[in-house]
Amino acid sequence: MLQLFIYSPGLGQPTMDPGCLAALIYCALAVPKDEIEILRTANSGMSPTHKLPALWDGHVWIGSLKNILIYLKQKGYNLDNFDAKQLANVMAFTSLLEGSVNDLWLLEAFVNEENFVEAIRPAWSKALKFPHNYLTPNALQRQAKERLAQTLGIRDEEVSYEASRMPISHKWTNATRHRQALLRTQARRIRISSLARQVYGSLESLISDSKFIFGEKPTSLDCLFYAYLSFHAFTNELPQATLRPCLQFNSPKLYAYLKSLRETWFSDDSNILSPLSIKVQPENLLTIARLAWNNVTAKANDTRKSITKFSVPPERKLLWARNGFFIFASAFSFVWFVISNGIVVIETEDDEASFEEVDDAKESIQEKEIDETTESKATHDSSETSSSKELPKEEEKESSSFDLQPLSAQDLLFSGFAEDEIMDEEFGYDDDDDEEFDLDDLDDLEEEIV
Amino acid sequence: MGGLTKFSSYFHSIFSRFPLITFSNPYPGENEDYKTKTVMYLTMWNSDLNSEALDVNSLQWQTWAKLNDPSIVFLNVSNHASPDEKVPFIQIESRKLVLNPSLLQYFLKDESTLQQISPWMSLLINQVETAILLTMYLDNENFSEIQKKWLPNMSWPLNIIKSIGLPSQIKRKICLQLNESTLDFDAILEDASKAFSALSELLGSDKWFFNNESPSFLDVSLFAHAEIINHLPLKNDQLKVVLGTHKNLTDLTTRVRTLAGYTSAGPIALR
Repeated sequence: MLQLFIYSPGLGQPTMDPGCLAALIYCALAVPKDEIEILRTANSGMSPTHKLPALWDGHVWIGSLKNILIYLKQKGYNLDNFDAKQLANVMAFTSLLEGSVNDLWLLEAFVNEENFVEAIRPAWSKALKFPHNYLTPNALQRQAKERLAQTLGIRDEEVSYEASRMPISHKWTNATRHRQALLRTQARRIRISSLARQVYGSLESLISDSKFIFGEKPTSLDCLFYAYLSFHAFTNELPQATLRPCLQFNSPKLYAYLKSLRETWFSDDSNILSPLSIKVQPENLLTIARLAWNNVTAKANDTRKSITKFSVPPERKLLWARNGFFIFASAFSFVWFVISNGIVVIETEDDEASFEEVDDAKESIQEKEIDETTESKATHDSSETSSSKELPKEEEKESSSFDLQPLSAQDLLFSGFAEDEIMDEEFGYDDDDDEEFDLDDLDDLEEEIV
Repeated sequence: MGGLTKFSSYFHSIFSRFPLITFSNPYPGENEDYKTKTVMYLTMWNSDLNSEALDVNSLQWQTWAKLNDPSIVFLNVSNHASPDEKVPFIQIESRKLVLNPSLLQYFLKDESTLQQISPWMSLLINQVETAILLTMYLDNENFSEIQKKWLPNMSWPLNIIKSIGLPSQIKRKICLQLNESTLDFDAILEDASKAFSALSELLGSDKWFFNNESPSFLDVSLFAHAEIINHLPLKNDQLKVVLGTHKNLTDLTTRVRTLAGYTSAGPIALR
């Protein structure tokens, strides 16, 4: 039993992708309904070419539309019975459909930002499930832009306009650039219309009065015609539709042919998809995990590229390093010169230590003086001791006489003086000590003078 | 007063002898044709009017210009001379540029002719040109031969850098063209064979395609592809064998070549 994997429906079509639509129509017409099963999926990893449509025949995977058609014809499901001339035409027009016609659709759907944002991305997001609804539309847009840059030479930079960050001083240049961007957009639309008119004219040369291109029976070329051109002709949701008016007004036979095919194949009365069994393939957690990891690594790569894009070039780095070194060296040498010559003294803990050393030096000097005057101090010490011994005795005597003797006139007079003397002695003791020290110093000086 | 006049005439006679030496202008004069005529910039061409460019697109438009517009002037440039790195492109009276994707619409203004040849041009571009690029650059044996004999001479290490980057660029280009993420070499060569069969069937026994009186752009385009295939210095020459089986196509190639006036060909032309 054959299994055909296609994208989900959307945009008024049984499937969102032209290639999937072609494969679906061909299978519906060529393969008996009990020998094939249609599965709607969003995961294209199972295909050997990593693109849908994909066909599974029980033991082999076939990817890409061309290979699927070849395989089905080899198995006997063959709608084509061409002679040499017809075969040549089929090959040429197949190439045109997969090339120019597909390019026009990519241009209208994915490169036109308004169409993409308002119609295509919501349709894809609605058709697919998480996380494919976030990943697939942007991936398709990126691929479309890459392909069109190569085949038609279309780039986003031509028509993009971004206002300057200095709105006042760049007022006129902003207006000029905006006008130029609009003119280039208009020129692009004219070019697209011209190319579309030419392509539709080529395709219309094959259309005849018969129901299908090569007679009364459908062939693979009819499937391809409808698959690739129905998106041009029957997509109603696009806010900026350029291809549909061009097709209707310039190629009326082609448009009528497409309408006839739609009525034949997809009307409510005789829908070719009704006999088929169409299911939704369940999601695989491993696939979702792999997609998440791919997304993370892609984001990391983009971040790395953006960082390297804005990084400083090595020449500028070298210049900054050289200047920085020169400035630092100059400052350091100046500071060292000032400090080493003592022009500026900085008080730090080391300086405090030096002060302590000075104090130690003073103490050492005092010790020397003491050593020199040991003999004189010894005598003074003895005198001091004797004087100290006498003083407390006198104090004791005076106090005892005052307490013991009775009061008389003379005693009263002497007692008053005694109090004064006691006070003076208390204070004088200190004074005497000071005087003694001063006398000692004077003696030392006299000795030195001598 | 008489003496003053005499002095004046004396000084005048002295200064009239200067400048004593006059040198000739060492710089060559600018070519006026580049300002007044259309200039087509080709690549891989040795600047000989009787030689072909060794690039499919350049040879195609070179031949077309030779047959239809003899006033066009040719110049040899690298692909980096083009704003979109696609050669050839033309410059009209040194004012207007027409880039490679727009050349077809610029030169072939007849829309019915364009409509007639579009499917077959698409066949040539998508099947035959892809096979040529694949045979030249993605086959290891052939690519080493091409590096020796076909690519322009470059200084070291630029030649190494170009040779390293070229196959991956070509592979990416082919993947974008065919809308595939992987390349099946046998399938591509088989498609090219079928394309030649289709073109041979279209030509039949006529002199030019569509039984015209003079060669159309399709004839010129087929000539360019066939000429490159016939002169590729390749060990793997499947395409040449396939092309050789269609006698009417090789005869057409000879007719266009004679009409265009090419005398020398192949890798010798670049040396």
